Amino acid sequence: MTALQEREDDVRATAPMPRHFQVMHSMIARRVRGRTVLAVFVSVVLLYLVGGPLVMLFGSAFQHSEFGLPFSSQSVWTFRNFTTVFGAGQTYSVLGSTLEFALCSLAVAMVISLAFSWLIERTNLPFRNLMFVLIVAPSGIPLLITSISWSLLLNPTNGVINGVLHPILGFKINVYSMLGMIFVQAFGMVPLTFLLITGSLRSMNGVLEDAAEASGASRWTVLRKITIPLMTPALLGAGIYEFVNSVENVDVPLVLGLPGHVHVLSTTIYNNTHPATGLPDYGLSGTYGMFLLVLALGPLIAYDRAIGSRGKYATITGRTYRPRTVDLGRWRWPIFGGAVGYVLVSFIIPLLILVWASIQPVYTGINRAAWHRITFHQWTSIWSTGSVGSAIRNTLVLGVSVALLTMAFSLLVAWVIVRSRSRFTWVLDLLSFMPHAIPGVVIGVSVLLLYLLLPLPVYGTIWIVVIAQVTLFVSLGTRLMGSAIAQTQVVLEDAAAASGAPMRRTWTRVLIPLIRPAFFNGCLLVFMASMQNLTLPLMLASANNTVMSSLIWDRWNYGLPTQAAVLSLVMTAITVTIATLLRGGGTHRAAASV
Amino acid sequence: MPAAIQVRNLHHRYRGAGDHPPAVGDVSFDVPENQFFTLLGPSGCGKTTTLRCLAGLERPDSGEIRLGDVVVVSDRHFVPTHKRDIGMVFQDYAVWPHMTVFENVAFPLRMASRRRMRMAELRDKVIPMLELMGMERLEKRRANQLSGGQQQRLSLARALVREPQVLLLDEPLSSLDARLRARMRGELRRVQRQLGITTVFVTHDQVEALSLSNWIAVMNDGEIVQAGRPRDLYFHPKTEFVGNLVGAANLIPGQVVSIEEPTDEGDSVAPRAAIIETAFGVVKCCDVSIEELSVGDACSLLVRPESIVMHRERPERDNIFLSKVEMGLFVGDAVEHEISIGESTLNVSVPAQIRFRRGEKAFAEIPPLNCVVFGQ
Repeated sequence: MTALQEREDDVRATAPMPRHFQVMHSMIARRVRGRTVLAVFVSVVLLYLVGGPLVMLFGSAFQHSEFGLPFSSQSVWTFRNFTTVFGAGQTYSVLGSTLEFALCSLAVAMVISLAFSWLIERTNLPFRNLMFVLIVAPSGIPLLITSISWSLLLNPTNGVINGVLHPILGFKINVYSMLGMIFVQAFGMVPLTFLLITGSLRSMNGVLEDAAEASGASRWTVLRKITIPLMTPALLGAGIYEFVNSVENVDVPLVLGLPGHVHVLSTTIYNNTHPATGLPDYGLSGTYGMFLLVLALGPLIAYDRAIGSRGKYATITGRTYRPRTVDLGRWRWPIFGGAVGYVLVSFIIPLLILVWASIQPVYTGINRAAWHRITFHQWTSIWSTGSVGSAIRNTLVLGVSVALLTMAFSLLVAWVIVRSRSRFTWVLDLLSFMPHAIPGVVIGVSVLLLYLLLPLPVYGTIWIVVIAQVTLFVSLGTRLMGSAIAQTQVVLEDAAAASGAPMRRTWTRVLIPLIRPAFFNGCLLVFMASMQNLTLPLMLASANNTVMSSLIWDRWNYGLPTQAAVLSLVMTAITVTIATLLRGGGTHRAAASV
Repeated sequence: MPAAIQVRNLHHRYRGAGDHPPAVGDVSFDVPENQFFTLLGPSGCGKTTTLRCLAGLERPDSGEIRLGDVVVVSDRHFVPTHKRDIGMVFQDYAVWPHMTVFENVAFPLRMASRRRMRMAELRDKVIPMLELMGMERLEKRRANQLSGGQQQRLSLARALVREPQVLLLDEPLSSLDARLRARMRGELRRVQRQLGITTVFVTHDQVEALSLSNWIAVMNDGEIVQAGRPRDLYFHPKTEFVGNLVGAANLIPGQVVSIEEPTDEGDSVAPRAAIIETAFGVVKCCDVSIEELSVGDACSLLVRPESIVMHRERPERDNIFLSKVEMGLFVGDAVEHEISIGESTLNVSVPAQIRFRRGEKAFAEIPPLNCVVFGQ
């Protein structure tokens, strides 16, 4: 106290700092360098992963490569691909079908998801928790497999349902049509869309709605003026995500579109790189790829403008309470019946038909003769073919390495983005977000082009698929890790530093243990997405890198539906198991953060 | 006594702040050994930034900081946080939820040691610290199973366990509820005195600042506007800003009409006084703050609500005004009245035993000694 009392009031009296004090050798240089090195490292890798293929894509779009690889001696610079693409009337019909397919399936999926979200979150629908599980469960089934099931059920020749419908009603439903594709795609998109929407409905604070009601708003007005506007970011986010999803994937258009001669952009690109006869035209597919890129990028940019990047890592506060449930009254059981019907159609029946097909030697629909032919031969014999064993091996190698590489790299990227205060993090943010905007089929064709030309020995191996999938999933991984890190208060890291922990130990002792659950969940999620993904293994397929999904397509395409069914069931069992391993909310958070 | 902390000409501007004024602009102060030093100010005044510069969580644009014998920040040197001999308590505790209470407190010890510490060694240090905080029975609890007050004490234990030279407290009490805050305030004071650790405390709460500190620096817009002992700041603020910040205040605009020079006539000693014309009458002020005033100056008077004395009968003293009681709020230990004198309204705090009814006329006395004047 005395020292203070003797001092002048004005503490700003500035005595020069004595110079003779022991000066500690500063560690800042190393720390800054550590952070900078990390930032530079992740930027370079991202640039290579994302930028490299894109450069190839743009480049080859301007190369005439009908007779050889782009950038090779046979190829010349040209605008011909563009004149071919934009000059052909077929392009516009393909574009039209792509939009019709994507927008209609999105609309159907949205309506179904919204209805179920509201019913399950806000009403007294019976068995709500069970319904929740049953609606989400099909997320474990890849769209390829769903498409195969529906082809078995509704194909015009021997579809099982058609076999029942035709004698009674006198008409058949042809699933090999735009309408068929739309419904199968929509059913496939419901689980994730539903999860996203219920998530936002659940995390919404009921007080906000009560406040509106207490201000004199009717139930309907509350829904219109409060609930829906509050959900808008989630609805838009889910919508855009699913839109890109349905534009980019080949599953449904391959299985259901090709037989019915319905072509969309993704299958057009696939056909140009994998023609039934003749040489692939990579230049032309590059041009189509650019086309598709623009189609996917447009809505994403619009979304980013509308929502802004602020909400991207928004954390949901736990202090919400569940609003009153709405009494459905006498509609309670009829609506429940409808919901059960939906579950039957979207999940149970497609699974049952696969089981049936898998115990048939040759698939001929359901009839008395087939009943007597039931056999488990396929289940036992299929393992003896070498291709199944190597496909399972490849699938595991692919899934595990993609999951670990993606998540480890995403953790680094996300940490730099979230924690750094540099002015340049937006570049990283953008780079890591890009793959989300690049349709999978475009990533496929770009990676293909890149490694056809680069003298790296990955073309034709499983590792080219690994690289492509890491590129595809890095945006998902970064969003996941970004929200996990953002939810881990920075003071926890500050506190470690203030307790004397250097950066490395702050990571090992504080940050990593805290985000371990999110990291683990992310690995499972990426592993599952990797397994379910057909587009990339197919785009990059060769004799040695067949995985489960491409093998199923292969068997189906060769007219071996029973083998495809066995493999599909095996794969469904694996993915559904993983889906249940995902901790509650894991999928939701993953989806919410894309 | 050497200063345990020296800060010289600290400047810091956040990146992306554009044309905004710097978060910290030219701040200098010394904190002598064993003192409890408080940076007090409204949010955004730069107090937390200053503290984060002390901790090394923020690298200032320029300036020098010395902790003990070590220059931690200068033009050429910057010692990162984990190399500084500090303990820090954060606003929202920042206890690690994945560790037990024991592990949280042991963490700084493990970091300080080059080798792997044996359990017995750790316990020797951790357990007394937990005992000091009254938490020894909670050592096996997960940190996220603690109440707010317990988390705060844990956070304090963790900050103190490696016996740092300097304790940094960043609004440590603001997340607690009022009753707990009052108790933790006492506990903080006790522990700080008991260990004699040099402490820098950041707060926006004047009660915490006044009750805990040896010395307070009031900050505004990135600068220290006044520093002093708590009593000085409370009774002799130099600006309206400080006067308002450290306690409730009535501010009355006025003009100096005359200055009475000090007289010394036997037993009646009269200090120098300023006679100030206000909206409700002439007020005589004898506070030291009138030294620099001259006749004709516009000024404002600061009178604390508890300085005003209410009388039922007119006493024969200076500055007595007839007032009307407009409102009374009984807050337990006092009644906070709003009174009007003419057109002016003043807040007055009256001991709870004395009751004035609404509409009642009473005489308000503004003691000349408790009437701070700010020239303009």
